[in-house]
Amino acid sequence: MIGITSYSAYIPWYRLSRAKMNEATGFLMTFPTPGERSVANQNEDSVTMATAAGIYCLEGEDRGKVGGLYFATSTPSYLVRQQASIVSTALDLREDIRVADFASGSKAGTTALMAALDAVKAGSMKSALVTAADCRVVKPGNPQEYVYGDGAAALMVGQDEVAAELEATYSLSVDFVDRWRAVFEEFEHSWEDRWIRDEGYEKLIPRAIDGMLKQQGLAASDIAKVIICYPMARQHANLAKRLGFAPAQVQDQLMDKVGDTCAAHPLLMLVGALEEAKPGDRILVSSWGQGVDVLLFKVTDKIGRMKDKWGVKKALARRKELESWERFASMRGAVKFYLGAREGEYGFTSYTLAWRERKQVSRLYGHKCKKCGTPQFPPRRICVNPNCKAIDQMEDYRFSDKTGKIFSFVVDYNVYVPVPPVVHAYINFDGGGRIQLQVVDVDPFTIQIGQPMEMTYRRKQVDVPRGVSIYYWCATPVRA
Amino acid sequence: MANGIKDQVAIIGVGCTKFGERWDTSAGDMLVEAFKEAIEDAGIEPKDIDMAFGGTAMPETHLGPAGTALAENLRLDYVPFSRNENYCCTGADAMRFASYAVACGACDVALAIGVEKLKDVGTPGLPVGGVTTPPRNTFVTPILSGGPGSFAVLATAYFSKYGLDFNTGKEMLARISAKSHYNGSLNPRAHLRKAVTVQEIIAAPFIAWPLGLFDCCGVTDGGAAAIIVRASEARKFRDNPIYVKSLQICSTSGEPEEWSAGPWDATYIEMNRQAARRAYKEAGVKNPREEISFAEVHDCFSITEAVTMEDLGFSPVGKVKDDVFAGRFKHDGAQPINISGGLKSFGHPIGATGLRMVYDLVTQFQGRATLPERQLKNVRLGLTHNLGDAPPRSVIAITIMGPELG
Repeated sequence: MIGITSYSAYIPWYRLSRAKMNEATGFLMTFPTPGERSVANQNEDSVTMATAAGIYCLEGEDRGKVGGLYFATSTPSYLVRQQASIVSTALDLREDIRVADFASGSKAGTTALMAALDAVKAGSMKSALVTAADCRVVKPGNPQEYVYGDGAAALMVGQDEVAAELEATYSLSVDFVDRWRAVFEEFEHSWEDRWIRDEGYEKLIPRAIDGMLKQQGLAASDIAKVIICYPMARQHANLAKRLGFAPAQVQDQLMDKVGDTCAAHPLLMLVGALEEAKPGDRILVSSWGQGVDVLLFKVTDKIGRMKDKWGVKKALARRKELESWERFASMRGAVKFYLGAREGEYGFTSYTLAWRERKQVSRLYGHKCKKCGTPQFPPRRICVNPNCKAIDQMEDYRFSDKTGKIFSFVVDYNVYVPVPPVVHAYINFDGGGRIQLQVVDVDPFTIQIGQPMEMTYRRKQVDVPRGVSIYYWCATPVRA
Repeated sequence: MANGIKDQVAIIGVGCTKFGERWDTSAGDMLVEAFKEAIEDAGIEPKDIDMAFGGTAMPETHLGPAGTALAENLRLDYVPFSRNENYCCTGADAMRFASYAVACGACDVALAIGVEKLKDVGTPGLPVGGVTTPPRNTFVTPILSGGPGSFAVLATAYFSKYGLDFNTGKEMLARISAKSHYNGSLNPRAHLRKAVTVQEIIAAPFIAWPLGLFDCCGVTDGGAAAIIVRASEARKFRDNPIYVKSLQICSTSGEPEEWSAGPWDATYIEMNRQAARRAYKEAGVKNPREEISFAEVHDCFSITEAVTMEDLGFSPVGKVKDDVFAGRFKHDGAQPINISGGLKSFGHPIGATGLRMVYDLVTQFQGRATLPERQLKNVRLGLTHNLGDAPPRSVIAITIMGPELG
């Protein structure tokens, strides 16, 4: 049996109400839309959100057994440099595995999932982690700004403990161009929405879903939950109805809570569906992009094992309303605010050093002294314990999966980031060791000494002149 | 068995530039400004100097590496001239090296000089790539506003441990800064010469919470110098030489930073305590609260001065607030601290600061403190203290000196 063995959802902490967006940019084109959208923090991008989803998905799983890592996004942080490698390294997966990026469109998430299932089916790997994340930025005032949301999802696929078995796949691949961004462009273009609706969503989605149902000899009534990515609320409901699905069969599209997370979206909705699923349920997942991918899953009795996974419900509950559209625009770089005279000053970024110290930098490994048992960071040859000082008695010690408590902290306004302040703290790790780390996704004035923290992977800085996204670990309040 | 430096060497001349934003003056010209005053004060000629140590902490923005540019500006032709750097202890280290060179007989008259030109870079704050760049890679180092962010953790932890509510903690820090601003207002060579009230300080914008604008020292250009000879020779040059009693530095091992099992709780600086212990032993000081008449300490931030008072034994641990509120450290208090105005108000050109403090001590001892209201009376022992980098990974320099032998 091949299928899904674990899942997780990642929705960034910040939410922005669309009313606030309309207040700020409605003078250009008013676009009153209900609800809110998710907003990635200033130190997040697709790579970090995929990593976060990966961390959650691997909780309780053996990461040494993961045989592959696929990363899907339409907002890569590099055109040249594989990002699946960044994610797999941060997740501390083995190096002797296959990893790949799936890019260019919002269909990339389902395509990556299909490829992973195929690889497991073919015996090329026993299990694979599929991560999808997106963080699309459009010109301020573009209605897509209201539609898009930022987020990620991760699915583990394999042969053992399968909670949702793959029954079939069906793909429709066409060069239907609704939105595009050339490599030399900062922002994407949209073709006319009415045309996208009539010629795109209304025709291609039915073709693909009907194609799958016919192929499998199934009717709409055989499906417990259908996932349709059609980010126009009324039309979404009407299309589902036309295809024969009752409202209870239609998975929530999260448009009023998250927005369209593009490549991540069908997987995010699938996670939402799996959270509610019962054994025997059939879940039909469809995506949207240059065509439509459709996957059909049948839920098994192993679904009960998944009840503690970090799914959409938990991710939605962890939220903070962003004060203004302007903060969002600065965070995402949609508007270039003046950040101070020293904006753009960087230390020297060295890949030679980053590679040599990759265990420390990318995997957050320190050492544990074999003689006295002291965990310590950064890794050095001589033990830090003043009563020990043993030389070369170290073994690797991973901090990224450890929790800790705030030892002392500062709320720093004098930093050149899109939205100051930056919070920094010394974290005393449970089990030993202390690291100074940035604290993210936290209300600065609610922080307490002793507050429990967990690790999250972020884009600490961008070295613009050298084109380097500098990823590193930060602390964030332990998920409740 | 080491004897220590006590009473082996003496200071026979000191010089210090006007501190400030010296837009119209180069680092080389500030060197000459401090040097000229020092040799005139010592009553010597440049040719009498037979060894020199020059401190610059951020030479990439002014004189460059090595001692060559320093020697060249001072026209100290072919003299052994070494440049040194040790974060904010750079100036103190030049003094230390010059003293040791004299003490061991390698030379007779040594120059210790330090200068920093920080205001040529076109941006506020310290130049990037200098002392604020920690010895780690950019992937791992935190994005912090250098000093303020690094020192503010002391304040957060101190308030928490000793039960100071936010307003009381802020007022304690504000009183420290207000005292230094007042002292600076009396000092013609100080950078910031405006007295500021406690209320103004508390109301200022945050830089790195809980530290606000007036909790932070400025960025300053300046230079300072001292001429060192053997103690036995000193009275040939002047009848009131100042004798060096102790020169100590202390560097971190990384222990408090990386070892959560240790006792360090971010309310003190262990390197301060270790350096002080050694300095008092070398100088024969038993009770620093009583025996050290006055001190110039590293008040890069108000909280640094607060915890340093405890670390140096000037205040009981956890009780500095009582001394601050009682005015113990004011210019007319029992133990004046930073009578010059301190880093806060006099300024902090990094390579010069340690020697600037020496200048302040020496001129106070010799009754030459420019204005009667800032002249201390009956001072027997003085102490200078520098803190390089930020806690917990710091380097500390402590110098003790006095006008009498023994």
